Amino acid sequence: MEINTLYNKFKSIWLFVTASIMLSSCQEKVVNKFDSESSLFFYNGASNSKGITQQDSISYSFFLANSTLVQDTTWLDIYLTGMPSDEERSISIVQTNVGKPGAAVSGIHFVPFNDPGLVSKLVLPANKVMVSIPVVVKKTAEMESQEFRLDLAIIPNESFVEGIKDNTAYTIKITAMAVKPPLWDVANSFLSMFGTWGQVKMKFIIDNVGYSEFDVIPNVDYRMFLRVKAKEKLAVYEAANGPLYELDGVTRVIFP
Amino acid sequence: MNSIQGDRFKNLKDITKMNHILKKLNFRHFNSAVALSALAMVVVLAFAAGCVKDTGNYDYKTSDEIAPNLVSGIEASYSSISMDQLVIDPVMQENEDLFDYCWYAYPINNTNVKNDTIGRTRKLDYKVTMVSGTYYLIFKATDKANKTAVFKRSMLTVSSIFGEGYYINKYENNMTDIDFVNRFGVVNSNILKTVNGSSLEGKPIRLAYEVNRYSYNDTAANGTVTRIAMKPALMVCSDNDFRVYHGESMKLLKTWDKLFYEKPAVKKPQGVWANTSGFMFMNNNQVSFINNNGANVGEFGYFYPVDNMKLNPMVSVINGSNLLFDDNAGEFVGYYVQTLSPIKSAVKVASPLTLAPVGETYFTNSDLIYMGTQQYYYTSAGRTYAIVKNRSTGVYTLWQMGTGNIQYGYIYDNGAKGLVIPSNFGVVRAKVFALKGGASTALNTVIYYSAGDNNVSYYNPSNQTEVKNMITIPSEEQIVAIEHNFDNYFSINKFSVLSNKAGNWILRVYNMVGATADVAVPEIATYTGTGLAKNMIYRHTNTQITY
Repeated sequence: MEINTLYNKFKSIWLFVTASIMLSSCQEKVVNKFDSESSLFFYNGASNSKGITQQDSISYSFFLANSTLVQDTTWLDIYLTGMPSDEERSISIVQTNVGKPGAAVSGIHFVPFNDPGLVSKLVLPANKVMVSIPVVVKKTAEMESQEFRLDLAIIPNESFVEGIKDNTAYTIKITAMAVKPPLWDVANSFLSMFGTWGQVKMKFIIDNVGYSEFDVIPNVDYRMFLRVKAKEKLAVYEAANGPLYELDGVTRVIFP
Repeated sequence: MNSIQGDRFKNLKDITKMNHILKKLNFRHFNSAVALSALAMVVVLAFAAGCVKDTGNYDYKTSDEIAPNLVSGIEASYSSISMDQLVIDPVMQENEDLFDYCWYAYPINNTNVKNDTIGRTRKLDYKVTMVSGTYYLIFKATDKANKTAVFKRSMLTVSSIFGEGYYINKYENNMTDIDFVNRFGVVNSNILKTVNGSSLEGKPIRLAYEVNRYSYNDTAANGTVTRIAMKPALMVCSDNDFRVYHGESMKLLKTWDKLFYEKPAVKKPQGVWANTSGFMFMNNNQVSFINNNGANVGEFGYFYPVDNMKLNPMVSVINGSNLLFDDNAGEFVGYYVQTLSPIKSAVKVASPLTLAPVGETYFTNSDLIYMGTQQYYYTSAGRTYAIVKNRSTGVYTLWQMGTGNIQYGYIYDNGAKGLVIPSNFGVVRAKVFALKGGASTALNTVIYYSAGDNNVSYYNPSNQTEVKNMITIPSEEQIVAIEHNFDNYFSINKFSVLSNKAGNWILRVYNMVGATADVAVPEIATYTGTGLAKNMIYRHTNTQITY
């Protein structure tokens, strides 16, 4: 009697489960779609779409540029979170460290983002998920000995809601001093080619070896080219002028 | 009746009832005791079944009855020229429709060439597009029903039209070009101009061929740039130009303006050499390299500093190392593509046990009489041999150098240790030289030479003798190049003599006398062309590098 009851119970459960599974397969599949509002964030990686190292912060130095250059453009990649739109959408960027010590001054150290020449470029084009926006930096005499910090933030507007906090802020450092390139100490990069970084050494490489693309690691064959050339150019320099030293007057510039 | 007995009784009743239900329900459910008993019974039966003698009535068949059988139609070896049709028509014992077919080939000695499927039908009808070399050619027929297969392996030797023959580097009408003597003995004149529309300006200096060490960018019509990696290349150097050609088609790949990371200010080519890392080019008393590591696109690197040297254009290359001679100091200087400065301080003696340098046998202040690389087989050299004359004593000495070790930072002598050559030997006054090919054991060569007249002799350092006038050609001819065409692996063993006569060149090819240093005269073939020859390279189907 008890076994019969148990069997009947199992039979009922089994039939119910089987029927449920079969019925569920007849249900129309509903795909969950992202239907939140769109936001933006700064790319953070080794190389952005312009080949610039956009990791943590960008250090722009007029040191690497021609000495007659007083204004230059660096680029920031901004990505979309959410669905692309069939209309272009404006992007709002503001400086967040206005008035703070060492802060870059709008109009003096960089072209403001509401400048008529820039506004049209601060848009996410229709049907795109990424845009590279220009940041126009300006050289001043103070930059020969000082670095200015430009803290940026993407703020909400009529097209975009607030993005993820850590990814909507980005910093650009502007100077005319020599800045150690982020890739200098990377394995098989400039450290292995030229040795320990130094401001005078880097200037020598730019002026005498003719190389200033420190945003990319040259291939092994070109690295060899640069190493041999740097050694020869330094030998020629020293033959004419004697040893070359860093600004401390002690550290001699050598190439390994 | 206590409660336990009561429970047992109750259980027995239940079991009896359950058995009744099981029968009724056809084993749709039962309790664990019954399940365990049934399982144990099954296991015991399974073991017991293993003890029963197998008296089955099987029908055994041989593999021939099951697997496909190839009757005929595939030879042990084939030879083909690029772009020719290779047709092989094998015969199957069974109905050919029963099988799936596959033909594929893989190289026996070139790891940079991928395996390739070249046919999917029983009869192979394939336009040969593989690069020059020797391949294993595999035929496979698989039974569609039982998936058994039959394989047949044969050897396929592929070479381009230019893959086998003599390249005569010559001067005619103020231009440098190549006359190519193909495998059938046909002389194809001025192949560079014929294929590309122009020759090189200036007088010929040197040729160098490497089967898979040149990479370059190819720009499509739509502007797309693709890196073409590790292709065969022939480099041609005149005293006023330097160009790179595809080693299979002779199509021009690069001209002077595109050959350097930084074009040299002075254009004064002195020679080009192939090595296993790439190429070395000498210009205006400086050398630079193509190193095939990384993403090189066929551009030479920075020229090494002159460093008070005067580089002799007689160079020996083994592996990736290059042995040169500084005419100013009168001593060797070594270069390796990944070494930042030349090695030139000493000739070191290697330990016979460890090959590490022990002590020094230094020489300097000498004149280089001859230096060359001993050919061993298609991709490997034996030793470098060099003859120098001490400027102070006038004594001639022979050195057998381990050039390949320059990459480790030292130059050393393998065994000749400055063997004194009698000053009355003709080899010390010769103008044209060649080494007998062979392995790298001590003094395992002779040095063939000519004074630039019509005779070829040789010097044998192992017994300090000379064989004079081994070959004599007509007296109105001047010998400009000699070569032992040797490959130990592929059994190439010929001797060639290139001479000039009244504005024409003459090439004579001889058999060797077995494995000896002697040449069997008279020649077995003679070829002629117009223009004054400077030198030549011989390329057989499997040649990977020329020295």
